[in-house]
Amino acid sequence: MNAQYKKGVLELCVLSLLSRRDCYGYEIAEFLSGRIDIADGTVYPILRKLKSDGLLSTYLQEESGGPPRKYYSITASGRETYERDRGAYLRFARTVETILEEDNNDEA
Amino acid sequence: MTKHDFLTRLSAELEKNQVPDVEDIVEEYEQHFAFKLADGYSEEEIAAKLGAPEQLAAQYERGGAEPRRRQGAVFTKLGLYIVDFFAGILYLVLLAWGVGMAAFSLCCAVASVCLIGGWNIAALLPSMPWLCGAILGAALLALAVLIAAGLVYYLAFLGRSRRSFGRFHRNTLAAAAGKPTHPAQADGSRLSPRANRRLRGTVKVSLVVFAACFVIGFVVCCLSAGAFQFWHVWGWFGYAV
Repeated sequence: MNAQYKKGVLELCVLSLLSRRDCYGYEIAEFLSGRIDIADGTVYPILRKLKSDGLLSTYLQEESGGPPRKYYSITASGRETYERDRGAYLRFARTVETILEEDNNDEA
Repeated sequence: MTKHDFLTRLSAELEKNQVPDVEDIVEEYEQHFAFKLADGYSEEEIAAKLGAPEQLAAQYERGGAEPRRRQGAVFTKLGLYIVDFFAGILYLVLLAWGVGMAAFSLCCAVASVCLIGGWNIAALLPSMPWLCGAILGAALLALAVLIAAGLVYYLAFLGRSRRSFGRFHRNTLAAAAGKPTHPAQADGSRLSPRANRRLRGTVKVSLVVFAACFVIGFVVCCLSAGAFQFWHVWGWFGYAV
């Protein structure tokens, strides 16, 4: 799949994961690279961009036996953006699916 | 590529691109290595899965254009306060209209109760046979409900406008200070679908009841007064017939 195309969708996936609970960076990278075929490192620039857009905030939390972890949590503005973009994406995806399936029927 | 190679190439590339907070970014990748190493992967494997440092560095937004639009902040603030002032006055006027509508709805409701109950306190209501009064009272009651439903729509609209103006206010200040802005439209403040359906039903029913009762009341008044202009027959305007 086209890498540029995937990037916009990845932002939505990150927001979706963080709308459920706060996570640290590695957790998010593992979550996404386990499901979508991307280089592990791609997630960190996305997290940074979402943070500088004010959609995410970070805090440090002490862990037993290790350096403090940087946790990401979604802001009110991030939640609002997520709800809006989620609806838009789902509608878009449904339309694309319908079109592609029509194509399938023609061939059969 | 070892962990050391990866991190040096990454930070060199980030420095070259003038990305701010290089240390912070590199630390995140360092932690990634730490987690993966603990899971038993080799440094080479981890670096390969992360992707090329040059490509990753290119995905970070460049800094550079940091001190921008600072001088305009004072004028932005001043202009914003002037806009606030006029918007505030407009909001008060719109709110007063809402209060007026509420008062009108209440008057209709009280008058209809008096007409249906047959109480003519201090002879404030024009005199008419009870049946005519009751039908017209029902029309007035439907009108009161109709206006109240309209008021709910109106107040929801006012609330939405106020919120999106507040959002505009904050965004303008944030943009002037170079801070991140929020999405323009404050969404999710609409009536719930259920409330909306119920409200629409109320409007339809009250509109039909109002129209029907008004027409029937008019006809009954004409018949019982024996004249088309029944208000002259009953002397509503205080002069002798």
